[in-house]
Amino acid sequence: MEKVDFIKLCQDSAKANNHELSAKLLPSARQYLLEHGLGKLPVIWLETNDSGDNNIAFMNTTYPYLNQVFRDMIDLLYSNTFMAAQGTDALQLLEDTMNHYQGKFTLVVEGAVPAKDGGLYNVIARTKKGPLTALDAVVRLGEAAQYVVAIGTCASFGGASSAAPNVTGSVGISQVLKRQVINVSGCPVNPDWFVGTLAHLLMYGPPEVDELNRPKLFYGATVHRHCQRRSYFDNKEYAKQLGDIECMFSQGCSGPRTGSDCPYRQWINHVSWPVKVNTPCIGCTNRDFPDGSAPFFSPLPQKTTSHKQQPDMGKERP
Amino acid sequence: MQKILFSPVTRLSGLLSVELSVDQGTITEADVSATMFRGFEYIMRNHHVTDAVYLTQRICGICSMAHGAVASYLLDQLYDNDINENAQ
Repeated sequence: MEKVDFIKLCQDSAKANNHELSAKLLPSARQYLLEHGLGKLPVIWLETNDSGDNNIAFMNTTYPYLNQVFRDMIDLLYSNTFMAAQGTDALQLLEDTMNHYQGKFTLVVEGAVPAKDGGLYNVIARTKKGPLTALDAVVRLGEAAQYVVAIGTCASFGGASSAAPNVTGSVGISQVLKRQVINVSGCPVNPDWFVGTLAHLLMYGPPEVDELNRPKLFYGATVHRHCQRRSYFDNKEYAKQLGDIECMFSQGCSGPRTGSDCPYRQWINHVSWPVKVNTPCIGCTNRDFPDGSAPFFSPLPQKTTSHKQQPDMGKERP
Repeated sequence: MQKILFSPVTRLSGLLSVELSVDQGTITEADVSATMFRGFEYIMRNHHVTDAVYLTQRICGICSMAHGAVASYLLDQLYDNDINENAQ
């Protein structure tokens, strides 16, 4: 499959609730790997300061389903959530994987990295030599990885973990790594965005990204642009309260400043999304979520303007 | 007296470590530590009370529904809303 067709397929998959994506993606991924003498994508998945929502969202993936992702696309070598090994065996696996796949594995980080107090607010594992902090692990693995993917808004930009007053000093992982990080933001992430990014990495390398280092094929347009209630907005018909069918701009919707394809891709097997169930978009893919979207029910001009200062975010540092 | 450090405990969301003290085959002490801190209690301060519905859902990705629902019930009590069972 050509790259152009792949991107088109990813963007179209939401329109039709059928098996088209997995029916085409999986055989073509397999064929591509065979032709190029490649194996599955080796992945190390670290969980840091987060709520575990992104791995739950990832488990919701349909077309391809979770077992198909594991069987045909990725080789998940370490994951706090999914792996059977535990204790020192798990840590040994992490060490062996890092040495064996040096420069070849993909690091997936779920959650922000607390940078304050030596990173002690998040300890991946306790060892006889002392605590292995998320900060240590992300920096060490991030330097040895081929690709680094931040899954969720916490890992991408700090997200809810770094909300004011941010007592743990949490930051997105691009802040602690001197290399390109592909941000797949969302709170939680839509499984299609993440699996699509993995598939892109597997077959064509890093996807084209926007100014926040997010794949353009998923975050290119605003929620507002494709919203089903857009015509109400254009006619200046606003909801007087939650539950009304008009545009929820008046109820605090962040759609106009939020890049994502929620309106047509939708969630949970492409069934529904916030606006469809009468709650406004809270802008969860944004760099300044949640502080920049609060108060959630106040219209955009009245929201908190003290957005987080992260000037070098999203830029590849020398 | 023997000390056993069991970390990380896997197949769960979040991070967990267990340290056991064993004396002649009997566990005398078990220290369980959830080695993650975000300070949600601090984050919730200075927010408008209605933000609780969405913000508390970010505490846990598994039981986010429970946090959101309880926050909604609390708001109903605070605002003295009389909502019938269907609407809830």
